Amino acid sequence: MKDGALWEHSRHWLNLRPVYAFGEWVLDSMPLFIGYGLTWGVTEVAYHASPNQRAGIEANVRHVLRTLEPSMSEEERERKIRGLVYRIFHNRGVWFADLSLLAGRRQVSGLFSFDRSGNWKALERQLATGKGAIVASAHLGNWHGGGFAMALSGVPVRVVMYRNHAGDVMDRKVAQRAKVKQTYIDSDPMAMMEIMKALNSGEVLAMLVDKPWDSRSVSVPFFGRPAPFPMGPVRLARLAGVPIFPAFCVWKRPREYVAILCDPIEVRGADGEEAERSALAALAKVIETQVAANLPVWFNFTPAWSPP
Amino acid sequence: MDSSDADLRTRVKTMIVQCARLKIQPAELKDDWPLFDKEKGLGLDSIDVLELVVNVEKTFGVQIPDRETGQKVLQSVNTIVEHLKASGKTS
Repeated sequence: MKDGALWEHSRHWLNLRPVYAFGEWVLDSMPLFIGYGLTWGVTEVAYHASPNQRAGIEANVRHVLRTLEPSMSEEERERKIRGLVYRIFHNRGVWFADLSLLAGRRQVSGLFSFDRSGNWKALERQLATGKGAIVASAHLGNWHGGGFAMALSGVPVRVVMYRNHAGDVMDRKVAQRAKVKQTYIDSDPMAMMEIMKALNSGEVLAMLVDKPWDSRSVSVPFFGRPAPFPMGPVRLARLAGVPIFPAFCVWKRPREYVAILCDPIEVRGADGEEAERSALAALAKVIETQVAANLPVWFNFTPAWSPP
Repeated sequence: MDSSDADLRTRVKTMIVQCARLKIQPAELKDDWPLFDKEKGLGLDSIDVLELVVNVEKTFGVQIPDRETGQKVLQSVNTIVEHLKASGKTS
């Protein structure tokens, strides 16, 4: 399923299982200030030694700032971009540290807080019908934390994902801890049967929808320019007859999160493909709004508007 | 192969071609081509599975309820036809 380019671009010397395992052990076993301090140090090295990832973020942030603040001078914008990219790298370090804690053995209550915001009532109404829903997120804030918070509040969550270079071990631990089910869709096309069954039995499918890992993508406007988004989630929603809830988990202070559930997007219409395109455009618009509001935690290291 | 069997195969092939938006005529689709094999077959993917499952139910009124059944049924035109015949809903 992975057509290659995006997968290759996400390779990184930190994106290795032993590195994740070591980081997780440090954060799980040592006082928090040591764990977070070491994470800061490693992130500082990563910032200086990751030119491709830095370039990816820079390109993304540059386009967003040009769209959001068109009157800003080129010099001022470049200065702001440099500052933002640096912050994004370090926030990504915090993301890793928080994820390690969620995956580890420490007590989560008291360590993390997850406030809820947005239209959670609409999700409750949807689940009351007996059918599930799709919760669509982006590489913004701590998406694992969002699934974690949702599952802890009693929602039956299943994460649908591709295997990745390293983090899937940690993903699995976080999922086990929160009793979140997981389905990988990269190796067996029949996994889709499991997904369909889950939706029909009232589960919430959580997926990241801002990166087109395979060739099944459609370009829709994103910050004023066409960007490819995967069409799988909208087709699944249309065929299963369930809504898509855009959702994001962002932090305001360390380990203090807000889980935002946006209004549902329905994928309906006589022309199925047009309905999908329209829903995808609506989804991209919601992601755009959230990215604009939370730019320092937009962890998209690959160019969003042109494939690597 | 009697005419009803041939008719059923044509309908199944038409459904597959439409679901997967294949650029071939239904008649070109061989009965034993593996649906999901990229080298020897059609190279369908997980999205195509969705389309096929939904359309088998919509067109023939036959459910493919779970992953195990899907693995058995969605191998080729032959296996889909066998499943439809076994269900008794071939009209």
